Amino acid sequence: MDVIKRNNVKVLGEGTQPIVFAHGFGCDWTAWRSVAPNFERDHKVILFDHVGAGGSDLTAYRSDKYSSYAGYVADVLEIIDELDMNDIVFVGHSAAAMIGMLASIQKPERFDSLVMVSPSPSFLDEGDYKGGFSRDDIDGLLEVLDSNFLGWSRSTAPLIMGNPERPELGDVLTGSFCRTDPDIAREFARVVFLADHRADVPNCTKRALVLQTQADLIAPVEVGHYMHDHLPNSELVLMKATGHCPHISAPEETSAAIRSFLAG
Amino acid sequence: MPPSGAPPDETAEDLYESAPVGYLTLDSGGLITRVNGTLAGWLNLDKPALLGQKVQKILTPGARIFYETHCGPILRLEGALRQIALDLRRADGTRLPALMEWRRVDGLDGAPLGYRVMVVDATERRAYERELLDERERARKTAEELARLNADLETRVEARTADLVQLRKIESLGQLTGGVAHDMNNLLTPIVTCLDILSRSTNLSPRQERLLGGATEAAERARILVSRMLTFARRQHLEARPVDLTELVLGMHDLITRSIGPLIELHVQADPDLPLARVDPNQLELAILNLSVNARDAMNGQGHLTLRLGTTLIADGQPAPLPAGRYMSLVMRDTGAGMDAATLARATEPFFTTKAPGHGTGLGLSMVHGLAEQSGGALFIESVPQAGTTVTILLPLASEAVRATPAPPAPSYKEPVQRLRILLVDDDELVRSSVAAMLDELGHDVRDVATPLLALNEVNAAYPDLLISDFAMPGMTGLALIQAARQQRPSLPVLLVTGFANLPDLDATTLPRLSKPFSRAELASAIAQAAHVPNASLAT
Repeated sequence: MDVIKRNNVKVLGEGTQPIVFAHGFGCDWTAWRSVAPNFERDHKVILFDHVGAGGSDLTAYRSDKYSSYAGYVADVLEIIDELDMNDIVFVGHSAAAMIGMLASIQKPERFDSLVMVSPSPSFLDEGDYKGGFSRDDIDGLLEVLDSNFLGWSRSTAPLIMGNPERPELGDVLTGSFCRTDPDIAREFARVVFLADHRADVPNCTKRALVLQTQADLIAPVEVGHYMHDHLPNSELVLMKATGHCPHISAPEETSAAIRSFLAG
Repeated sequence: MPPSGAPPDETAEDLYESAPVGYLTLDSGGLITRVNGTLAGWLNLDKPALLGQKVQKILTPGARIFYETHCGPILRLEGALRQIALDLRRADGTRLPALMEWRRVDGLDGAPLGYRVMVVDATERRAYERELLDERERARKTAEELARLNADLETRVEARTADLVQLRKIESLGQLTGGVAHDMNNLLTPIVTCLDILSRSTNLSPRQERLLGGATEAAERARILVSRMLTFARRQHLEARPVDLTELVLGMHDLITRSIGPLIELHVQADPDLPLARVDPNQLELAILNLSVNARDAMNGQGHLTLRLGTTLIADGQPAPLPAGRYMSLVMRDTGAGMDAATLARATEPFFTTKAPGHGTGLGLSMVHGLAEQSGGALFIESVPQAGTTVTILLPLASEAVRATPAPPAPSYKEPVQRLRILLVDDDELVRSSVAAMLDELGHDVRDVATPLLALNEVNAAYPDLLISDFAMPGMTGLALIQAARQQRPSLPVLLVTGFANLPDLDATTLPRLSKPFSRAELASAIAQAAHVPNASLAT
């Protein structure tokens, strides 16, 4: 198994300390296109796609392996082994913040610190915990996914899969935004939105930065506080940016927050 | 007033408000700044309630996740979203499936001013999509099921092909073995006959008697070997009749104990009140002895041999070489060395043996196999290396409800009741002359000929008391000769002699017959029987 090919791993930058950027549900490595370059001078920058997204090897996808975060965590640890990385800064968005947290619990010796962008250990409301969604909401998401992916293979494919009217954009950063395989995305959605990893949060002893935006409709501010309260060694930064994807909507603020955390 | 039949005279404002699609305008931060009446009506909300809200607020929670994770990033990077399926939430909480078009509007300086959004009611379309998706899921499941069935079928065909190859191999070995046995019988007949005649001489020296005894014993062993070959080839003539297996096995107890030796413990278990099996008891005894000797060799003379009698039900559809029904089962289990899969696969092949040269003919299990199949039963062998072997013989139940009566003793031969004029026909010179000599010894008047045509002439000319004919002859079989002869003399007594004891053509007749090779006494006895049943018919 060629791990590098399977996860479409890219290694950039001139520094020595590795900083790994991991995309969340619904996107691929290109989500980091405005953030990652800011770290190339001082770090070794690693970008990759989870299996099922972007340029990953779709044939490596197995429903049983990826039926929980465990399969994705195993892939991350294999990438770390393959590149023989230590002292890692792991920057994960949303679902990938959880993947990075679980990986650091399994192999703490490889990690220096974690940056969690809009993380959530559980999206479902339960008792006092407000994840933000009910089981019906998640079923609604699955239906919307179905409906869009049904169309993706037809009229909207050019938009999602690339942009034939603007070939000058090239493929490096803009040619393939957020490509995801429809069937895999559906299963990934179940993994992400039905998982509950609250019990794992206190086991993550690494130094961690929680980036929480204003009005994040996916991971509300209460969840950001929950993470900060339960991670033994964390800082919480409430950003000016809004929405669930500050690395896309506010790349400069996101980069600055990470930079400041790494300097501290 | 517009002329009649002309399109409605509407202002741009009318068009915006009442268009059959919903319109939204957002500022660059995604807050709703304008909404048309159609969309507000669909959502059952007043316009003021919508203005200033984040656009995500009019989405269902599920749609909001999709918007945030998939649409937002693309809209920011690409500036447009085409035909995105999202669910809107009406004032009463119900869902409005929609298709939405998004366009970013940039100012002269390139900075985004806001977004234009068009909304189409996709309720019908969504329902249709669900049906399509359900249908696709059904098709996928059907395809999976078909693939599974196909794989299953392929496995079965493979296994069946392997079975067929083995079956064909056994079949051709059977033909070969049968042919060899037939020729061997033809060779043995003069040997046995001549030895028989010689042994009647009165002036033999003790040394000559010893040599003759040795030769006779060797010929007898050859006869048994050929008989096993015939059993394997399923050409043995079987005297199948209702047999009480318990009685048969208990009767063999001492014989088995002697053949397996003192260090092997024999356990016989039989269910009470077992029905009768239909089988040739003599051949079955031989089979049990063969299996006992095999077990002894497998156990190196030490261990346990269990012989179990019961019944087995073969159910409909069960993978068995037998029709469904109840069968008698005779199971012999040893605690010996067992066989690996490769040996087990070849175990019933004739001449296949794992014993040292000179210690086995490789015909034991093939004989048992032939007997079981020819009897309408089956043979199963299971074996685990180092654990032992279990041999199961299934035999059909005797349909007769009555218990078997002991077979009537063969009519004993008395010195010539009557001197007969016998016409002997056999194409094999050696066989013919030795049988003729034997008949002469028995005191009969023999006329021997080499072909069926010559025999037919003799039937008319010499008026024999008995016709003794070989079965397999060039040009005309013994059966055809007898039919032709009985055209001339319908009551002519006949005796059919054959190397293949069991032939399909003969199964349908009750003609007296004698299997090669035979002793003088067997010939005499057969003549006595044949001469007394002149009216045996050619067909049942």
